[in-house]
Amino acid sequence: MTVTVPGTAPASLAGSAPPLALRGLSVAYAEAPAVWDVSFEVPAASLTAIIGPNGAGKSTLLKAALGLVPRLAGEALFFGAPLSRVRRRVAYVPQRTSVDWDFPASALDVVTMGLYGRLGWLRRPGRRERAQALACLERVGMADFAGRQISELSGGQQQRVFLARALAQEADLTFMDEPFAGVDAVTERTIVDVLHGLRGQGRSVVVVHHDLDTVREYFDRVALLNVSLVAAGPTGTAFSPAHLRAAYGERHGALAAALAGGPP
Amino acid sequence: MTLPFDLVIVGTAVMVAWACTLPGLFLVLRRQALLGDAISHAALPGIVAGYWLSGGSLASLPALVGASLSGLLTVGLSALIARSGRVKEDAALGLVFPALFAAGVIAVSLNYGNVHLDLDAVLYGEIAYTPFRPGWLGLPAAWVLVGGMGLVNALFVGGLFKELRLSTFDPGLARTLGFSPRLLSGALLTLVALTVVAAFEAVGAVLVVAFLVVPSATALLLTRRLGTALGLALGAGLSASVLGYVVALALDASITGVVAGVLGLQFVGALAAQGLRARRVRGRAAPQG
Amino acid sequence: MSLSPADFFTDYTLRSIVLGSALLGLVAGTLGCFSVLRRQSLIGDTVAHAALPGLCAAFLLTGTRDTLGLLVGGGLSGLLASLLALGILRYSRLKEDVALGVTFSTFFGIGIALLTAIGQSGNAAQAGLEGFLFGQAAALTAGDVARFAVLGALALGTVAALHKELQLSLFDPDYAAVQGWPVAGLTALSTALTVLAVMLGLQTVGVVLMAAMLIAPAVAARQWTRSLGGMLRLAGGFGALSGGLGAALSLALSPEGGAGLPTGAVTVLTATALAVLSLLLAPGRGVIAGWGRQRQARARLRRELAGGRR
Repeated sequence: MTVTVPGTAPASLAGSAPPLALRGLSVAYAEAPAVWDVSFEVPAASLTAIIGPNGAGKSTLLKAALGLVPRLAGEALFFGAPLSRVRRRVAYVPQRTSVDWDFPASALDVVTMGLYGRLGWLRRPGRRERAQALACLERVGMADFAGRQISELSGGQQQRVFLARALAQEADLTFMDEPFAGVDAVTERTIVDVLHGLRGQGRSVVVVHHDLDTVREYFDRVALLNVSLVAAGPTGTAFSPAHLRAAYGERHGALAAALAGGPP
Repeated sequence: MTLPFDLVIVGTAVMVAWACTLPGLFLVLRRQALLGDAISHAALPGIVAGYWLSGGSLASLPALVGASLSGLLTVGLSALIARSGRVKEDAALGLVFPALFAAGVIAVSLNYGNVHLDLDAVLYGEIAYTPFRPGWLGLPAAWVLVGGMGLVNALFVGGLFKELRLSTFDPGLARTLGFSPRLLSGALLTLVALTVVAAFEAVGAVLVVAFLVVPSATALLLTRRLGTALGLALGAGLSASVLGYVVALALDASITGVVAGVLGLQFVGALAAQGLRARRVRGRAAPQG
Repeated sequence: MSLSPADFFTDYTLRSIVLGSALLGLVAGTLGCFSVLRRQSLIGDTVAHAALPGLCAAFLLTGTRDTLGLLVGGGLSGLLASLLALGILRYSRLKEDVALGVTFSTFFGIGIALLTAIGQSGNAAQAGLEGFLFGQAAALTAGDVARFAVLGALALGTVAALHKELQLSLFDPDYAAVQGWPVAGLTALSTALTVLAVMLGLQTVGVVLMAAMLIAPAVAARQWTRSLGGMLRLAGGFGALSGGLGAALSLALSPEGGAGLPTGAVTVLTATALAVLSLLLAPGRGVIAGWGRQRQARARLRRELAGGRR
C-alpha cells in the first residue's frame, strides 16, 4: 500500500513503485538464520523504524537489503528496480562505530564523500562540492566544525557528520543504522528534525531503532522484527502491545508493551 | 644412548608445534598473530650482544638470554607506542621490530665485518641438524630446550585457561573480577618471546611462526569453542609434523618447508570445509515459496 | 671510503645508490599509508616473505639472476599471497593479522623448500639470490634507478588519479559499496601497488626491513596532518628523505677499507628516527604536546576546585 502526499513528492517519485519493497528476504550467518523470510514495503514520504530485541537481525536486514551481506533468498526492490540501477536515489548511514574515526579527514571531507557517487570516476570534488557539503553541515548544526579533525568530534557530532553526508546525496530513500545510539540530546533533536524535514519533502527514511520510548513520537511506521517479521505497518496499528510481546518474548514483552504506552 | 634420527627430528617438530600452539591460540584471538615473526627478527641485536659478551659462541646461553631480552623489548616497546593512542597495534609492532633488526645488522657489520657470522644459521636454524646436537641426559639439545618451554606453556595455559579465556574475550570484566588482564597478557607475551627464541634456535624462524599461527587459525575455522579449538590445533600440529617429515624425506626436500606447506594445506582444507558447510546449511534452510 | 658532499653529484655509482634509495622511499612511504590505515601494516613484511617462492621459481626457470625476471616472479607470488589474505578476510571470520600470518608462513615455507632445492643443485648463483633477500643497495645501477622511476611514477600516478575512490573505500567500505564503488577491486588495486613497492624495495633494503619502509614514514606523516592527501604527500617526502639520507649516511660513515655499513639498515633507522621524533614532537598529535595540554587542563581544574566554582 503506497501513501503519497499530494503536491510534496518530488517529480522523481512519480510512478507507483514504492521506495522499498522487501520480498522474502532471508540471511544466514554460518548455521542459524539471522533474518527469515521478511517482506514489507516502505511508502514514499514515510519514516519507518525497524525495531526488535538484540540479535533480532535489524542491522543485518538493512545490510542484506543494500547487498552488503549475502542473501540466502528473497529480493529487495528500490523504486521498483534492483539497487544497482537506482544507487543515486539511495543513501546509507552506517553505524557510527563501523569506521575508524582516527582516519585523517576533516568533517567537511567526510560530508564531501556523499557527493562522490554523483561525481563519478576520476573527477575530484571542487569548490562547488565543498560549498554543497558545507550547506549540509549547516543543516545539522555542524558548520562551525567543518575543518575539525573527525577524531576530535564527540560521538553525537560524528553522528551528525554522517547524517550530513547522507543529506549531501539528496537521496529519496535513506537507511540509518542506530543513529540514536549513544548520542547527546542536541544531536537526537537535530536528527529528528532533519528526518521530519525529509518526510516533508516526500522522501523516506528507514531507521534501525532501539528506544521503544520514542517510537510513537519519531516514526509513522514500524517494522517489528525478531529474525522473522512480527508486524509491519503504521505505528498506530503495528506498534501494539500484542505485537511487542510476540517480538520481545513474554518476559521482556510486558516491559516493552508498558514502554509502548499500552496495557501490560 | 642415541635416539634414532627420525625420532629426534619428528619429536622436535611436534614439541615445537605444541609449545607454539599453546600460547599461539591466544595470540590469534588477540589479533597479535604476527608477534612471533616480529620477535624472531627483533632477537638479532640480543643474539649479537650475547655473542659479543660470551666471546663468540653462537649457540650459547648468553645468546639465548640476549635474544629473549630483545624479544621482550619488542613486546614492551610496541605496547608502549600503541598505548599512546597515536599508532595502532600493528603499526607499532612494525615500527619496533625492523628498527631492532636494523640495529642488529649494523652491529654485525661493524663488529664482525671480517668474521663470518652466519646470520642464516641464526635466523633459519635447520631442524635436520637437531640429532647432532646433544643436550642433557642423552637427550638432544632441542628436546631439552623446546620440551622445557612446552612444559612451562602447558602448565601456564592449563592452569590459567579460564582466566586467559576471560581476559581475551572481555578484558574489562576480567579486571572487575579481580584478574589482572595486563599481568596475564604480559605473562603470555613473555612466554611467547621465550618460546620463539628457544624454538627458532632449534628449527628456524619459519617453522616457529607457522606453528604459532596456522594450526590455531585452522582450528578456529572449524569450531568456536576454545577447548575444542586447542585440541584441534594440537592435532593439526602433530599430523603436519609427521606427514611433513615423511613427505620431505620422500621428496628429498627441506623439512621446514614441507611442514609449513602441509600446515597451509590443512588451513585451505578447513577453509573449504567451512565454505561447503555454509553452502549446505543455506541450501537446506532457504524458505520455501 | 671518505666522501665529500660533492662526490654525490659527480660520482655515478653514488648518485645511483642515493637516488634509487630515495625513489624507493618515496614510493614505499606513499603507498604505506594505505596499509597502515587499513590496519594491515605488516603486509609489507608478509609480501616480502611471500615473494621468496616466486623468486626461486623465476631463478629455476631462467637460470640467471636477472633482476627483472626475479622481480616479476617475486611480485607475482607476493601478489598471489596478499590476494589470498584478502580472500581469507572476506570469506572467514579470521582477522587481518591471522590472514597475513597464515599466507606468509606457508609461502615462505614453500620458498625455503625451493631455496634448499636450488642449493642442492649446487648452482653458484644461489648465493646471489640470498643476497637479494637481504638487500644490496650498493648494487643499484643507473638502469635500476630508471626502472624505479618509471614503476614509481606509474604507482604514484594511479594513487593521484584514484585518490577520491581509494579514500572512500578505505574510510568507509560499506558506504562506498552502497554507492556502487567496486570496493574489493579498489582494495586489490592498492594492495597490488603495495606489492610493487615491496618488490622495488627488496633489492635495496631486503625482506625484513621492507616492513619499516612502508610503516615508519606513514606513522610520521600522520602526526603532522589532518587530511589523507596531506598524509600521502608527507609520507612520500619522509620516505624519500630517509631513503636518500640513509644511503648517503651509510656511504659516508663506512669505515675506510672495512665492510660498508648496510644501506638498508641505516635507511630504516633513519625512517624510524623520523617517526619517533614526529610521535613525540608534532604539535597537536605529539605526545609531548598532549602532556602539556593535560597538565594545563588539570591545573586549571584544580584552581577552579580551590576557588569553589562548579
